[in-house]
Amino acid sequence: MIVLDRLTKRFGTTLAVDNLSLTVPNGSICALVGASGCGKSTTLRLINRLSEPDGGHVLIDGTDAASLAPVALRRRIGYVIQSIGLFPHWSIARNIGTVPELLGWPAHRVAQRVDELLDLVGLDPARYRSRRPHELSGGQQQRVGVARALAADPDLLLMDEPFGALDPVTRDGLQGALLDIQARTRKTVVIVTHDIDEAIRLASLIAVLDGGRLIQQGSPHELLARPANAFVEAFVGGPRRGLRLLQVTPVGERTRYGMGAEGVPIDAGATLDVALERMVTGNIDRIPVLDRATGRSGALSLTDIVAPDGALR
Amino acid sequence: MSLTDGSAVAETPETAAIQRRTGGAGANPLLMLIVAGMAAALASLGFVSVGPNRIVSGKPLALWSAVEPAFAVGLAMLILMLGLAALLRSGAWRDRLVSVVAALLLLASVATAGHAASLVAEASGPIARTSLGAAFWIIAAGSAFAFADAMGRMAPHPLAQVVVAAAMGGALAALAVSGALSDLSLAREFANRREAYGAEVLRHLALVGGALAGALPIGALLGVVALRRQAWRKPLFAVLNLIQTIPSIAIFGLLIGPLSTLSAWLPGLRSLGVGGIGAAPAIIALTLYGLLPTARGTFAGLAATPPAVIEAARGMGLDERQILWRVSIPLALPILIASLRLVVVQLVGLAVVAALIGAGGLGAFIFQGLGQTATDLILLGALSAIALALAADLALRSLGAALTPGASS
Repeated sequence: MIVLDRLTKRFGTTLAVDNLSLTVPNGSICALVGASGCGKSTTLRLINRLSEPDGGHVLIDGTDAASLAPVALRRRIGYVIQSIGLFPHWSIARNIGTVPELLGWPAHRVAQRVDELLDLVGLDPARYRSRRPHELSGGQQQRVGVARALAADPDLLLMDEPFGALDPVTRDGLQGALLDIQARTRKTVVIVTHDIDEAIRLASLIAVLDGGRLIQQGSPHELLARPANAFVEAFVGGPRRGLRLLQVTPVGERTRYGMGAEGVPIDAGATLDVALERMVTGNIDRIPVLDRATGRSGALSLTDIVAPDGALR
Repeated sequence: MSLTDGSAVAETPETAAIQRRTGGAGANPLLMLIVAGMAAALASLGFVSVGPNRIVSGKPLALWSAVEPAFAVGLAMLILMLGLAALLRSGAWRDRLVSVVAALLLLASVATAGHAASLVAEASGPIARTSLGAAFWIIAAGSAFAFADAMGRMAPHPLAQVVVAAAMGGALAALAVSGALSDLSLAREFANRREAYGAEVLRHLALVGGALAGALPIGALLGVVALRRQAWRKPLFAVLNLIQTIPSIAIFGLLIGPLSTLSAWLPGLRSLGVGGIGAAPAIIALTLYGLLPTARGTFAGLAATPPAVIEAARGMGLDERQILWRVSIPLALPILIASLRLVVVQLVGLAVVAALIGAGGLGAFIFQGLGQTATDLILLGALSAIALALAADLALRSLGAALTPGASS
């Protein structure tokens, strides 16, 4: 568990981070979102002590990060940045094996771990391990960046706009890969992004920052359904808030169980945007629903999506 | 590739290809001009100059009068071939032909001059001196340029360049050792000072080595300081630049006062050989001159490390020393070696002046030659210093090529 306790960071007279408190449960993905200069990257850098706070504490599983040696602390925490920063003079394998090597792992174990990680991020070890970074595409490089951050099997992964410089298709693929990796390894991830769609897709906890202060935290659904103020409303949704809310609301929440409908049933765990898409393209206003976990079935109609008891819950 | 971006590496295949393209597909007008200059020089200027003794300046002797017609025609044929090669369409074949003909011409002109000197010695006795004449110098310089230009266009691998340069040096050395040149005034001057020569070369190297031992660590340290402390950067380089602008003779002279006072105060220093004149002030002055290029090169090289790479390294838990030794220095290596070459070549040249304050070295021959108006003695010192600088440059170049295997791919 990562606890940020009243963190404050000043640069000259500007408050970059202002009395920020946040708790990230183990095994979850937390997104720090906000406009440029809102203090989200600075907050991330306070966690692995690339920057030292002027006030407050960072507690990692109950231990104050300030009581640990910064270099040793960082070797326990994965770190991925937007500009990737692979070492251009080293092979992919040596890049990935950097931290294990620093930790003094035997060479054969490092080599084995490198292949394991290349597999995990979807790159063929035989093909890529001895290449140089410049021979890889941007997306492949960032896959290596993620593999490098995971090399010493850290419990915590910090990512600073990791997919910000990639094209939409590559970004989508890497987001999927990250979700997949996280589902398998249960890492705790803190990711900084200015892309609210990325935050909604990846995170179970979103913290909205503005002017160094935490404005609101909650699940994507909470933020979209009940933004704390106009700023959060504008930031998380703007003109697309309703559509995004559909993306985070499970079909099961609006299903009328016991009722029936024609066609191939949709899974109750799917989100409302998928259901709406099926209706629009199928030219129907009602689709069957199946809850695979309980075996219950029901139906969802167009009016249920609009939720008669208050559209944005 | 990205490693060589912005570095001093100018001999990549890409640039050579561009030169080839922009050079056009036609003849090489510069080479034609050079060949025309050689021909004109041969026709109107002395190939060697013959004097009654080593002090009196000689009279120019044209190639035709200096050697048998066969030799003269041979040399003229090589010049003609170079001229014809200049008319060929540009391309790898022309470059190969030009480099071979130019190399032969250079060696042949040296050998012919040696032969001319032997003929003069036979005819006029051992006191007469044969110096190299204006036409010789023009042909030698022209063929050396044509050779270097053709080699540059072919852009061979750095190691191949080293091998070729070593072969040229070896061929010239073989000519000298065979005795074919020993009647040239230059060789006579060398023969007269055979004992002192080796010692002065070693002394020269010791001066440069001593200065490098001081300038490299201090300069590198200053470069790192300039990188880390932004506030110090400007004043630091301002001071180093200022040192660089002081004429070398002045700095040698300026050091005499303080150092002799110091050695008068501290007899221990004097017993170590530190005084106002001699090796100590020379090494100090050369060290000062070496600081700017070393500090600049270190700074530029280390500053060229992409910030993202440093950020990633730090974030992964490399400490500052590991970042420096594992990341910044390996990435800066091409620039660091390029500036080391610059420093070494510069110091080999500057060390010549150190002879003025009694530090010895190859400059000793030059100043003796100036004192005796013996041009060939001056030449002996100067050519030796040039050869030393070229050899050092070559050695460092091959070191660079060996250490950065990816740089040329």
